[in-house]
Amino acid sequence: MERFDFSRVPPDKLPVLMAKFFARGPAAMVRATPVQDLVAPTRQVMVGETLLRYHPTQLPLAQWATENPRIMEQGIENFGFGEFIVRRITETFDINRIPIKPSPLFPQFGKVLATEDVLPRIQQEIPVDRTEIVEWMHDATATNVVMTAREAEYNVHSQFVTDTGDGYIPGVRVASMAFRRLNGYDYARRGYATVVSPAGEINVPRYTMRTIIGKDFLGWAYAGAQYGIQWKGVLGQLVRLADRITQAVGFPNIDGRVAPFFILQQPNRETQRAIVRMVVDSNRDQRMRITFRDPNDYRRVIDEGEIEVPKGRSTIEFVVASYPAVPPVVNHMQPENGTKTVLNAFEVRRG
Amino acid sequence: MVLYNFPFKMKIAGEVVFPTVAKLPDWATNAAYRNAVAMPGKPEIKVVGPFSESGLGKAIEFPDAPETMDWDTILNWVKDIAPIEEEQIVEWMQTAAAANVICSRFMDEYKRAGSLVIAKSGDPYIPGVKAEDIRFVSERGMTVANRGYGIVSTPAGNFNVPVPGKATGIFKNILAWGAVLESFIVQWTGVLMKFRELVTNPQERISFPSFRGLTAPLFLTHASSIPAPVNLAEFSISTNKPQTVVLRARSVDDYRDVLFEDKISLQKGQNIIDYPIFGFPVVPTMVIELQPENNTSTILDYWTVYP
Repeated sequence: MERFDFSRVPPDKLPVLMAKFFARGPAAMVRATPVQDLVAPTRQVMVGETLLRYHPTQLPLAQWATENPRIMEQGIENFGFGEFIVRRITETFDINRIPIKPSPLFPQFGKVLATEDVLPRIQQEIPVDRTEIVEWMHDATATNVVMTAREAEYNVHSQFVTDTGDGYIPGVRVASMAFRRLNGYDYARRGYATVVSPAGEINVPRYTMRTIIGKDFLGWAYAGAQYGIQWKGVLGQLVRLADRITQAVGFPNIDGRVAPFFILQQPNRETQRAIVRMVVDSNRDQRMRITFRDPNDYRRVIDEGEIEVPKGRSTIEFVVASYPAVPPVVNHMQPENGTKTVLNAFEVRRG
Repeated sequence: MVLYNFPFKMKIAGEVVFPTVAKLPDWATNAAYRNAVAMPGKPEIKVVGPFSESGLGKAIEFPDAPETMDWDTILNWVKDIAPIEEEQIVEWMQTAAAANVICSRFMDEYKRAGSLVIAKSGDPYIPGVKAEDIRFVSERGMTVANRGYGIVSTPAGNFNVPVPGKATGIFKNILAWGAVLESFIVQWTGVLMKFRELVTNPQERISFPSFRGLTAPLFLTHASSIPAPVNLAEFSISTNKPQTVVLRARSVDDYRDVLFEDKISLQKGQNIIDYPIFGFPVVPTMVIELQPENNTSTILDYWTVYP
C-alpha cells in the first residue's frame, strides 16, 4: 500500500475529475437522504446437517420501549388483557364490499380469499394438456392467486413474503426457509413434508397448516395435495411485522386451511393501560384464537384467549394493561379453518 | 441502527416499493461529499492460481445436487431425478429446477456475505414467477416468443427480457435481473433476481449465477472506511476461461447514474486485481456492478477497499 498516497489525487487526474464534478447535471445533484433503519443481520443455525443462513423477523419497536429495559422485562411479566367486547356492525359478508386486493400476478381473477373459489376457473381456462400443463400447476396457481394478494395487502403495512409450488421440483423456498425436496410418492407414503427453517426441521403433515415459530422467526408452512411425483407446498415468512393495520388484509385460505396472522401490538406512547381495537370481517360465526407472544423470544406465550367473532363485520375492543408500562407484544391471531376472514383495522391507543 | 441510502420500504406513486438498499459509512452523510465523482486508474492484474469451485454456497432445498456451476451437469441431475416420463413432469420444470439450484446457492452465498438477494425460477404463465415485489407478467409462451421478449414488472417500472436472453433492470432504487431460458406454446421458463440489500466489500466467495450460459451480474457496495480522494480496491475474480468483465460504478443515490465504466481483461484462473480509484472531492461510496461474459464460470473471491 506504500505506493499509494490515499490523500492526494495525481495531478494529471485532478482536472478531469473536477470537470466531471462540475459537469454533473441537476438531476445528479438531487441526492437521497440517508436513512437510519433496523439492521437485519444474517444469522445462522445448524438444522440437521444443513447450515441455514436466515434473516430474523424484525419488530419496529417504539423508541420509548427499547430505551427502558424494565418495560421489555417487567412489563412483559405483568402483562394482562381484559374482556373482548364485540360489536357487530353488519351481518352481511360481501367480498365485493370488502377492500381486499386482487393478485398482482393474476389480476384477472379479481378478489379471492380462498383457493376453492378460483381453482375451477383456472382449470377451465387453462386445461390440462399433459405436455405443458398438468394438474398440480392449477392447484399452485390458485394458491398463488390467494397468496400474492395477501402478500400485497400485508406489504402496505410491513413485509411478508411467500412462495408456492411443487415441493419436489422446481422446489419451494422463501429467503429464510425451504421445503426439503421430497418425491410425491414418498410424501404420500409417510404423510408429511419437512421444512428446513430457523426454528429447526419442522414436519408438516399432509393437508396441514403448520405455524413455524422460532426465538426470532415467524412463519408458516402448508403441505397440500399430491399428484404423482409432484405435490403442492406453500411457505410464508414474516420479514417485518406491521404495528397497525389501516387497509384490509385477508387471512389466506388454502384448501380450507387458514393461515395465522402476526402483528406487533404496541401503544404509540408509554402507558399503563391501552385499548386494542380491531375491525374484522368473517363469512360465518367463528372462534378466533389470540396468542400474545414475548417480543424477546417469540416461542414464549405470555397470555392467550379466544374471541367469538360473529358473521359479518364487527369491531373488537379489549383493554391491555401492565406495569411499569404496556409492553410491545406479538399478537398472533388464528381464525378457524374453513372461514374467510379479513382484518380491516388494528390499532392500539392509550386507554 | 445503521445508515442506508434508501428506507426499508417506500411508496412511489401510491405503489409500495421495497428498494435495493446499500449500507453507508457514517462519513457518507457529510454534505460536502454527497456529489462526489470518481474515475478509475490503471489496474494491475496477476494470476495467482487455478480456477476452483470450492467454498461456494449450498441449496437448502436441494442438498444432494451436484456441487458444480456447470449448467449441463445440474440439468442432467434434475432429468435423472424427475424424468419426463412421470405424468406430472413437463419440460419447463426440469429447466426451472436446475435454475433454482443455482438461485438457491447464490442466495446462500450472498447471505453468507451478510446481505440479501432473492432469486427464483419457474413458469411465468402459471404458476407465475415473482421475487418479492417484482414479477414476470403472466403471458403464454407463444405470445412472448412471437413478440420476442417477456416483461418484468417492478413497482418502479417495467423492463423487457429477450426470448431467450437476459436483461438487467436498473431503476433509481431497484436493481434486478431477469432471464428467459426457453419458450414452448403455453409455458416458458424465466429466472428473476432482486437485490434487496447490497453486500459491502464482501470477503467470501460469491459466484456469478449462470443459467444455460446466461451469466448474471453481481452488485456490491464499495465503501472506504474514511473519506479519501484515492481508494485502492483489491479484488479477486476466478474464471474458467479468459474473458473481459465489465465494471460499472453507480451512484448510491440513483442506480441509473453511472460514475464510470471500465473493462477488465482476465486470464483463466484466479486473478487478483489492484484497482486504483480517484475521486473528487473524495471517492464516494458506490455500487459496483460486475458483468462477466456469457458461457463462463466466474466467481468473485473478495473485494477489499483501502483505506
